[in-house]
Amino acid sequence: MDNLDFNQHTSNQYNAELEDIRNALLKMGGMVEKQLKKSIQAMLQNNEKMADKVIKKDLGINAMEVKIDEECTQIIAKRQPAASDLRLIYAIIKCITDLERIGDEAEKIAKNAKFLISEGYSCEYYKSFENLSKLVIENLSQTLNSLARLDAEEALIIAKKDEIIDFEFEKLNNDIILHMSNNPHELEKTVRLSWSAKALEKIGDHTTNICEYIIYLVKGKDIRHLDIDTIEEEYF
Amino acid sequence: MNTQTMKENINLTNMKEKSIAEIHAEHKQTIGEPFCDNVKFSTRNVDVFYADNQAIYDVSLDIGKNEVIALIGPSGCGKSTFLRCLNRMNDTIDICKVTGDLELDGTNIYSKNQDPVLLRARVGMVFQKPNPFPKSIYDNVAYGPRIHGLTKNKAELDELVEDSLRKAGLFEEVKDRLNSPGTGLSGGQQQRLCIARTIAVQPEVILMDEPASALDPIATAKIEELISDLSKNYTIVIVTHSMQQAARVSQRTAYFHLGKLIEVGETNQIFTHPRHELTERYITGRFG
Repeated sequence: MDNLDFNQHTSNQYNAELEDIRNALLKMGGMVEKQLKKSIQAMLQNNEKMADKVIKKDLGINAMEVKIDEECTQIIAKRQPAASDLRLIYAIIKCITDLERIGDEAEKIAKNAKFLISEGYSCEYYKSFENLSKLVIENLSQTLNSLARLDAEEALIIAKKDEIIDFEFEKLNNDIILHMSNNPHELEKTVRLSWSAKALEKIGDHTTNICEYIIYLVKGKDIRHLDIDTIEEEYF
Repeated sequence: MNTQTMKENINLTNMKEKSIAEIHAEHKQTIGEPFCDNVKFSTRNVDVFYADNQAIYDVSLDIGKNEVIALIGPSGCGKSTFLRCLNRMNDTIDICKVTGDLELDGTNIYSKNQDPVLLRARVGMVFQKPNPFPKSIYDNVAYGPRIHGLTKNKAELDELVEDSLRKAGLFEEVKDRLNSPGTGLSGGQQQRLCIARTIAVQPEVILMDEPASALDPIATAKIEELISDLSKNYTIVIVTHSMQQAARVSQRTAYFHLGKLIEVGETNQIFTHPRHELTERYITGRFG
């Protein structure tokens, strides 16, 4: 039952509605991914204009969430989806919530970047921050690809990698805390760096959530709050 | 991810699928849980033929006591034929032949000693179109108990009629006109009258063949509410074309396709995560 095809309904109109909503989800995913990349770039390249753009564009992502939510509601009301169609709609509703929150975290990073740029601040931990952001962006990109391909196996592999993000975040955060205690006069600035690192860690968690919805959509099993080894043993 | 990549990715899921006929031909054994504990009806290896045409292929299914089980599937899949085997309604069709084991409480219902009339008193049936007798509301309900001699006197019969109408959720609406013709009621009321008539002979199992398909949404909701109430005391087997109805009223669902029992499972599972591709295709409307 892993071969999901949402284009085979007797009603072509229904096919079109589901295709539209999937395209909208993937488009929103693409927008969020771009926002994240730009917010990191703004910070690392001291680009205030870019940070402003990210902050402004978050409104578009919020609007997209509302629009997709409405479309899902319409499909539920009109089509009463069942089985894989129901799981698709459910997964989309859940995914857009996480995507919207990833958008919010990207906005936070952009706001922190603006502050740090205005203060002319930079420190040795920017490199670690950049490395952490690369892991987070890679996970998000791969998640969006597996969402488009409905690839549960890939989603599980990505979900597993969140541990690395958590580990790297802890390491960076400890370094930042140490830096704070050694340089209390920079506290106001370093705390912004810490918040941005935390935002990346949260994005990692939201990405993992999306992986879980992909697995639910494809496998029909709700694997939230289970440990990865159990999931792998029982459902794959 | 750019738009082009997204499009390509979407097309990746557009895989070449087997045709429905191919999947059906390959299907050998019912998927899921056709058997259960606390069995009321046990059917094993049931084949049904109309002359030379086989309508049911090797169906084995348990129906649990006090459960509501929904039989679903496209037209001509054999679900009504199977339902009619359960109280030997198919006996009335000369060319129909039923083989296999069908047991009600462990007794073979197709044995020579089994009186089909008594069987039908134990296993009542409600049909698609309400079919009240051209008699009064009271007599419609009293007809069965009179034939089967279930009451000793008029007072007992009155009580049974009232009780049956109450259980069918109709008494309050008709209590002032019990002597009016049953055919004068609305469609939904007529169907509930037919259910009251079925209940009046105190059956153990009620078979329902699309009981709400001729009714409006309000009358349908009343019938569904009734099914839920009745399931406390009766075992109910319902054939329905409305998947939402099956999902709402039943605890287990059995999916039939071209005479084969494809999948049986908990209703919650069947409607969120069916295991067989044909079930998935049917309930999601991919049968074009």
